[in-house]
Amino acid sequence: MYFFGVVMFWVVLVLCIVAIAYVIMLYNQLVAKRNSVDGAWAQIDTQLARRHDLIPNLVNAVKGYMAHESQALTQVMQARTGAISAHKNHDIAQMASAEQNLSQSLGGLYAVAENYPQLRADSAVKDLMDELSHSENRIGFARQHYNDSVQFYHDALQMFPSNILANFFRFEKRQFFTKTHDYKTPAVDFS
Amino acid sequence: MHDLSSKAKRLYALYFLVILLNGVWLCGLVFVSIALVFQLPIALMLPWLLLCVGALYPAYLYFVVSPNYSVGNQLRQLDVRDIDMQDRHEKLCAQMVDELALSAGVMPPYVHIVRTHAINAATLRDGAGHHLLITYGATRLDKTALYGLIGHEYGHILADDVALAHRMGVLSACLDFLHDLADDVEQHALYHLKIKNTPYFFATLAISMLLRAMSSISHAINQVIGRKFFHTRELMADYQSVMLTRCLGVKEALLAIRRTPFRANLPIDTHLAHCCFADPDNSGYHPENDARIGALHNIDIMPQSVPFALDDTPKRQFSPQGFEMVQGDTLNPQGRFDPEISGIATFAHLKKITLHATINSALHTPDTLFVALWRVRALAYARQSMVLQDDDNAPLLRALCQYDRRMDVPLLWLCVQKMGAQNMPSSCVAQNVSDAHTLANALIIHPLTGVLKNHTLMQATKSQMLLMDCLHGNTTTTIDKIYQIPVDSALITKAMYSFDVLNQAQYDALWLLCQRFAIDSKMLTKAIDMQQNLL
Repeated sequence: MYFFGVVMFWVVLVLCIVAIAYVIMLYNQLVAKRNSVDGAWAQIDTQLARRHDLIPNLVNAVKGYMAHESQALTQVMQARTGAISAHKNHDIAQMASAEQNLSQSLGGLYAVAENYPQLRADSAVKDLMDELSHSENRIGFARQHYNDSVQFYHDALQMFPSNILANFFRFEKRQFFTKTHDYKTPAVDFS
Repeated sequence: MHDLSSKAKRLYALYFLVILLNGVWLCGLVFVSIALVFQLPIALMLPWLLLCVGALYPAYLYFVVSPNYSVGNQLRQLDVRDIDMQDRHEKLCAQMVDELALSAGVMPPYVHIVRTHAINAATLRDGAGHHLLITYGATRLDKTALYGLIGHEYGHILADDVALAHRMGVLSACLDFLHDLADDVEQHALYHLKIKNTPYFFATLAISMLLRAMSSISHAINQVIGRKFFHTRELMADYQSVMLTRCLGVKEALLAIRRTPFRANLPIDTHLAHCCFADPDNSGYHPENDARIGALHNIDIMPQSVPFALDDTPKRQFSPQGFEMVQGDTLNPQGRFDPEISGIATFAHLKKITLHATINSALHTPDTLFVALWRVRALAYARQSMVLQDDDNAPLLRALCQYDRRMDVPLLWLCVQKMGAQNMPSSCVAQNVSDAHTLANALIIHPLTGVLKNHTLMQATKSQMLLMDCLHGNTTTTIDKIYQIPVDSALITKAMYSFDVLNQAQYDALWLLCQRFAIDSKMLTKAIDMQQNLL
């Protein structure tokens, strides 16, 4: 009887330890996924800020050549201001829309710039445009990673049994950073 | 057996002991648990506890140090250099690495360039992080293919395959250690035989045979399981690449490897072959490229998620005949493109192709002439006596005018003439079949793999210098010197490759060489005229 009691004690103890370890593991996974989403968002944030910083330089560099294209330049600067204010509000949907607007304005500027041969020959402008183009790519990949992370996080929030823990510890859903409609990045050819 | 240095073998022998100790440690752990549950005397537990503590350090070595081992050696062995940001292609490559690091959510690896025209990439890892090795040839891929190739390497990084490959290497080396131990025991057995101690001889021999059998069986199992396992990991890395880039760039890169004469050759240690994009030395650690391409057809790419980054990638191109053109394909001036040449150049397949089709394919797809050369080699191996018809000379010479690497064509022609020697002048009749083998192999070895033995390289350099003398110096005396060079098509190829652009003087040099090999001068004149008209 004593032996049976000791064995039962150890069995129950092991089961309890396993159950607690499992709960801890689930909780840690949820936290890791949430951190991954936060990290991915921080990357988007950085890349967007980088693009916002590059745009005034580009506008300053091209406005000497494009004195008669003030409308395109104004549009870009207005779109940039809108994107920065959306950024400050931390509203992801508004940010996505504003950033898309900015990309379109930049696309318009690139299209106009292709009509100016002197501009095509200016290496500083070319470098800036290359940098902006690279920045667009980085934003695209960062957004892709963010959306993937959000999807994995949402899966964990909604699937059993992690959803119980998520409700208990009040893990909140995150917004996707999506395009509102199809938009094609303009191809810039200064070769 | 693995091609590890003796130093590495000694280190791996240490790992073998580590594995043994790990086993002891685990047994000890179980034993201690039993002793605690059943309240056994503490005296029994003490040695096991000591063993547990003792095993911690080697366990640390195995799990932490082994993945970091030999990165420096590999980098030195591969003769890598840093990325050149002044080079447009390499800068683009660095940007892609940077972008895909964002997509994968990992730190970007250190990028190194391997000085080879082969198309491949590899991932290594040390304490400082991952190292991404990209060949010079790979940096010249188009954007989509390069994204796919780098994405594949990120697949390995995300799955931590490098550490896994190292550990598999460690296990294999442990088995090597068993094999070496069997050798030692066998030596010991021979010693007993020498001193006529028969019972000991049989005992030690039995032990050595047992060890050898153990290591051999384990090796076989390790190979089978390892390859199967690694094949799966490769396919997973391909899948990861597609998920990261949202395009089938991997397929483009695999097709590009098929097209390049340099293939994916990379002098990396066998146990790290798995960390490469494509099989670097036909070690079998990767699935066949066709199997990989086939597996990619079933992947849902989620086109709605295509990021901005890929919107400006080159559009897919099709020939006027409707065949998709991949990296390396071009149309000749007549706009003709032969899809046959893009087929899989397996040996069995090659044997079925006629020489006539080979030549015509080479004419229509000049960039893939190497495939034609492979076919010629296959024909040589098959010992088929092929005769070059007179009608085929003209298209060959036309190819001479149209092909960028024009010198390949007369060499191919020469090769063909040597094999189909019945209707050729006696001066260039192949002595026997092995002569054709030598010639064909010489053609293949140099231009396609870049592997030249030192003495051949020296001969090639010498002949190149003579040719330069011929172009700029005293022609009469140099002709004699050229005639003195032994007939070695590899060195002639090497010499010819130094001429990027042909001028009249170079044509003269070519003329001399053609005379040396008794090529019909009228045909050559016609070819040169055609070339000048084109220019």
